[in-house]
Amino acid sequence: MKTPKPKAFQAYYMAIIAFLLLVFAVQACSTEEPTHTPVPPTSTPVPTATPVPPTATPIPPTPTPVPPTATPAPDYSAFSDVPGIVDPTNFGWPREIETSEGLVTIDDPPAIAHFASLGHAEIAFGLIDQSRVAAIYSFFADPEGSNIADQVDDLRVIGLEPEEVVALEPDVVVVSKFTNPDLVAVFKEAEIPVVRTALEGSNGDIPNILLMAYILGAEDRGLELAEEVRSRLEFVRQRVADANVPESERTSVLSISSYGDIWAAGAGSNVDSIIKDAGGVNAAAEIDNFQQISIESIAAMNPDLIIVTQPMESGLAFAETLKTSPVLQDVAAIQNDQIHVVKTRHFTTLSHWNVRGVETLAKMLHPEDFADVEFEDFAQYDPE
Amino acid sequence: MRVRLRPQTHLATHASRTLRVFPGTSSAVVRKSLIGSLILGILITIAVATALATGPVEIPLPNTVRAVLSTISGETTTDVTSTQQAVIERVRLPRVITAMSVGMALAVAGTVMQAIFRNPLADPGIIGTSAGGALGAVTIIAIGATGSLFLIPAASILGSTMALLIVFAIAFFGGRMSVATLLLAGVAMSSLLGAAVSAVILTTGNFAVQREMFFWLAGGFEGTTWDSARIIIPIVVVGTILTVISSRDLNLLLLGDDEARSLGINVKAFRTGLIVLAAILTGIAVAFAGIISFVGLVVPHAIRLITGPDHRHVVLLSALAGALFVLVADTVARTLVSPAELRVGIITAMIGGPAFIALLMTTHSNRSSL
Repeated sequence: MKTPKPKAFQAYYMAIIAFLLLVFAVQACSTEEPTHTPVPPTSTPVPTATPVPPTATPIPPTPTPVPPTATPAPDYSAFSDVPGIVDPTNFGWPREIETSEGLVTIDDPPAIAHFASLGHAEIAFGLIDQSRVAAIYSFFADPEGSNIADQVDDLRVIGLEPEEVVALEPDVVVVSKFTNPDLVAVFKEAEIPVVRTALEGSNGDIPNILLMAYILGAEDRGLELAEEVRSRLEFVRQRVADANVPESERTSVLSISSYGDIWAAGAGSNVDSIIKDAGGVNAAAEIDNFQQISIESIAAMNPDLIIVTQPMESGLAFAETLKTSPVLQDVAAIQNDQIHVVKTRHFTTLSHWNVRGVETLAKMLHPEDFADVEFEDFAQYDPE
Repeated sequence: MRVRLRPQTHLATHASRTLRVFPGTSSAVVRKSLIGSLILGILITIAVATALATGPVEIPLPNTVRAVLSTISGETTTDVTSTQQAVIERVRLPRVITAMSVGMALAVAGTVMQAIFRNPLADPGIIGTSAGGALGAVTIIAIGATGSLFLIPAASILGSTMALLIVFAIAFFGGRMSVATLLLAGVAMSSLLGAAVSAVILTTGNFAVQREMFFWLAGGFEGTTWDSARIIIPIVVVGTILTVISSRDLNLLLLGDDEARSLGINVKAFRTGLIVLAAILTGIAVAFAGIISFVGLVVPHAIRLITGPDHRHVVLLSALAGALFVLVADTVARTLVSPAELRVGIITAMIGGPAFIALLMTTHSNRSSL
C-alpha cells in the first residue's frame, strides 16, 4: 500500500516543476536569433558614385582630387557587357540573371546572401556590409588562404552540409563552377535562388564583380571596386610596358607549392595570368593549369625566379629544400637566390585580390621600376 | 626422370600426389625458372636503362651510363654536368630502385596471399592489408612523428600485419577456412580501415598535412631518396628469398590443410609466418609508395597463366615481373605528360587492366581450341 505523500511535499515538487517551466520559457524567449539581422541594401537605385582613383598608392602618382561638382548622371553602361545580366537597362526589382543554373529572378534586394566559394565571398566583402553575409565556412577564416580572414570573426561558421545553408534562409546563394551540383539541387528544392558564376581569377575578374554587384543591388560600389581593380592593374601594366623589356629577355617565373608532392601553376591557371600581368614569363607554360611535377622538372624549366605559394611555415621549409637540393644548383633562381615564399592568399585566390599578387610579383620582377610604389591591400566595404 | 622426394617414406605417396598436381622435375622447374628469369632480366635491364635515360632533363644515354658508374664507383667524371650527375644519382636511381622494390614486394605479397587463402582474389588491396598499412602511416603523419625515417614504415608494417591477422582469424574461424568469409571479412576490413584513414585525415586540423596525406595515399614515387631505398631494399630482398625458399611448401598448402599436414608441414606455423611476411612486404611498400593497386592481383595471375600454378617458379617470376611492371608504370607516369607527372596508380590500372583481360582471353581461347 502506497503511503500518500504529504501535501507539503507535493507542493514542493509542484514548485520545482513550475520553476523549471519558467526557466525553459525564459530560455526559449531569449534564444538568439540568427546572427544576421536583415539589412537593407546600402546601394540606392540612383547612383552617386564617381570613379575612384586606384588605392594602390603609388607614392608619386598621387590621386587627382575630384572637385565636388554636381552628382553626375548615373552611368551604368559598364553593366551592359556583363555576361549573365539579362536586361542591363533594368536596375530596379525584380531583376533577372541567366547563368549555367538557368534563369533566376531576384524579386527584391537580397538582405541575406550566402557565398559557397571563398572567391565570391572575397568579392562580396568588397561590395556589401558583412551583416548581409549569411555565414562562412571555416576556411574563410584561415589567414593564410583567405583575404577576408580578419573580417569574419563575428560571422557564423557552418559546415558543408547544405541543410545548414537552407536553415539560414538566404535570399540568394552564389556558387562557383566548382560547387557540387547536388548541393545546388538542394538549394533549388528549398526554393532559394541560386546563381552559379565562373570565377576567372584573371584581369581582376571585373565582369564577375559587376555581376555580383548587380545580384546584390550594390551597383555603385561595384563600379567603384571594378574601377579600382582596373586602374590598379592598368598602373602595373603601364609600368611594365614602360620598362620595355623584350619578350625574349623577360624573367621566367615558376610558381610552385609542395604538400609532399610538388605542384606547378601552368598555362591557364590564375597564377599564369598574374605572371603575365606582372611582366614575367611562366616557366611552366608547357603544362596546363595546376599539375604535379618532379624536382627534376624544375631543373629542366630553369626558372629565373621561383615563387612558393603555400602557407608560410611549410613554404619556408620547402624553399630551403629547394635551395639545398643538388639537382637544382645550376638553376638560375637558386644561383641568384630568387626563391620567394609569397602570401599565398594573393596568388591562389579567384577574386580581385589576385591583383595584389600582380603588384607583389611586379615589384619582384622590376624592383627599380616600382621602387617608388607601396601597394596597399583592397579596402573592404565601408558604408561611410 | 629424377624426382627428389622427402626422406620420410610415409610421405612418398603424398609427394607423388603433389607431383601429379605440379608435374615437373626439379631440373625442369629450374630450367623454366631460368628461362623466365632470363627473359624478365633482359626486359628489366631495358626498362632500367630507359627509366634512367628518360626525364625532363635531357641526358644522353652515354652520360647516363657514366653518371651511374660514377655513382657506383664514387669517382667524379668530367664528361657529365653536375646537374646530370645529380639528377641520375639523387633522383632517378633511387626512384628506379624503390619502384622495383615496391613492385617486387606487392607481387610477392599477392602471390603468398593467394596461396595461403587458396583464393585468386586475395590481394593486399582487396583484403585490407594495404588499408591497414595506410592507417598506420597516416596516423604517424597526423601526429607529426615524422622525425625518424623508420617510424612510418614501422607503423605501416604494424597496421598491415594487424589487418591481415584479423582477416585471417575471421576467415579461419571454427578451424576451417571459408572463401566467402575471407572475401567478405577482407572487404569489411578494407572498408573499416578506409573509414579510419578518412577519419584521421579529416580530424587533422592542418590543411597542409591533410593534403600531404591525401596525395601520399594516392600512391607514387615522387621525392624518393636513397634513405627510402636503403630501408626498403633489404626487407624486400630477404622477404622474396624467404618466399622463394617456401615455394615448394606453398604448393603443398594448395592441396589442403590435411594433405599438407600429413606431408609434414606445420600448417599453422607456416601459414602464420607467411601471413606476417606478406604483411611486412605490403606494409613496407605502402610506407614508401602509398597505395598502388592492381600489382598484387595482376602480376601473379599473369605469371600463372603463362607458366602454370607451380609456386617454384611463380614466386620468383612474379617478383621479377612485379618489379618490371611498377618500374614501367612509373616511367610512363613521369614521362607521358612531362614535365608534369601522373600518379603511378593510374598507370598500373591502365596497363594492368587491359593486359590482364587480354591474357585471360588468350588463355581461354587457347584452352578452348585444345
